[in-house]
Amino acid sequence: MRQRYSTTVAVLVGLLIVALSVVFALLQSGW
Amino acid sequence: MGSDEYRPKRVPAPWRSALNAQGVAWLLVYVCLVLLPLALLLVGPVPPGREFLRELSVALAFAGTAILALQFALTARFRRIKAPYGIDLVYHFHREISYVALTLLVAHPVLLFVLSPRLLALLNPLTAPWRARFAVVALLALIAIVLTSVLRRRLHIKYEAWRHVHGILAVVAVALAVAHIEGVGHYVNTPWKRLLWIAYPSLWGGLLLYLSLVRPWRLTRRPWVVSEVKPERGAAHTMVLEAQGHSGMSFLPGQFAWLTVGESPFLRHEHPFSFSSSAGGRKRVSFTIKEVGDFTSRVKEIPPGAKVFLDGAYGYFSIDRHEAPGYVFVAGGIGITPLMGMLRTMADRDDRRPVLLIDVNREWESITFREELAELEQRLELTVVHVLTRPAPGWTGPSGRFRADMLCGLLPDDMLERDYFICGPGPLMDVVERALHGAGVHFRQVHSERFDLV
Repeated sequence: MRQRYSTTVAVLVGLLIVALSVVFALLQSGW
Repeated sequence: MGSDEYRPKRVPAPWRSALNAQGVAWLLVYVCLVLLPLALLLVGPVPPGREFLRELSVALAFAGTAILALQFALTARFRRIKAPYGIDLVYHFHREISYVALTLLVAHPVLLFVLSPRLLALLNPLTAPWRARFAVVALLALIAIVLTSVLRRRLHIKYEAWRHVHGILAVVAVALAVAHIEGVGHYVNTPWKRLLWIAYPSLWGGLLLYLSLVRPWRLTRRPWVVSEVKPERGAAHTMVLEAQGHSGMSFLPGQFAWLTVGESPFLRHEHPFSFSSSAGGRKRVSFTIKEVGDFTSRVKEIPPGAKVFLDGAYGYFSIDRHEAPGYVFVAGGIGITPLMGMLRTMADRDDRRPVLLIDVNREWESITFREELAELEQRLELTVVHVLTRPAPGWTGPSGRFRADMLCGLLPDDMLERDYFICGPGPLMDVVERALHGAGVHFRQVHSERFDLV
């Protein structure tokens, strides 16, 4: 169960990284 | 015990219970370390913008490469980083975040192919430029890393061999990803950005070098010798070690160390084992090891006088880290070792807090430390319940596959006040963790450590 939480954290970290990559792309593509 | 005592308490949200303030702080540091080298690309002269999908594809790839580089740090055995989580969760995160990295790095070419299908020609190794070849090989290396880790047991890859291959493939993947970045050169358009994206991964990769060279060199100065190897019940052997010319190692009951047998620790043929001796003795320690694999089957052949190196102590699976008015230990087979270390330590300290030990084994004859547990029951406030999964005829105690209802029937009246230490095979730990969660035991009172991660 502890490990399921660490999976959740990894997924959340992954989503955060994707979201910030989207911001990077938006900035760069001139939005 | 009244039935209303089983009513589950409010179950805390996972991210609140799994993480304390320190844990959250390290996670934020981690996210910053992943995104910092990407953010720095926006400083100074920035290349002209392109389509959204192309920029997203590039950003994902930079982030993915940074995650790969940071993987070296996650397994570099820094006590402070592992402190809020426990080493098993850090290794588990290392594994789970590698799927994130793989997804980001696969998304990179896929998005580019969606944007301009003619780029598919870059997959042809005969005609593609070197920068594209580097990228393809880096991605293949990453896929190989993931597959060999997930399928190690099924593919019958030995732990030592896997570990070497894992390190080599990781270096290859990161180095080629960096070569690809430098080859494309779009964002690393100034000398300092170019240098940044070489130095940053090298810094983290350097940790692997540290782990392979500096740490073993330090271990050579604190050698141990085998004083005896004695057989135990359940196809296990206890290896007793004595410090040779140094003050030994201080450790907490339940902690573990990485153990290398032989003349040199540089080969990295090391294995993690829990101390089974009392934490009271720092110059004479013991490990009890069951024959399950290549190395563990050879333990009984190690002669007295053999040299051993210990890297430790690690782990948060310890009663000293989790003070409680009483404990429940659940052991499956050889999972008894760290719990035995804790019981022996309690005996040395004359610690009279109540402990319930539920010891799950296949049969009566294979219960490791059976006689000593019976003795400890006399000396400590200890109750031992043996559960046999394949008992001989005539056994009247609990038997069969260990189930949640079996556990709940054994728990003491003050179950909600006690802390729980679980060590054993994965499926058993899953059953126990789920049952305790259902019975309303707070997440923070349940401690488990797993070594079967790969």
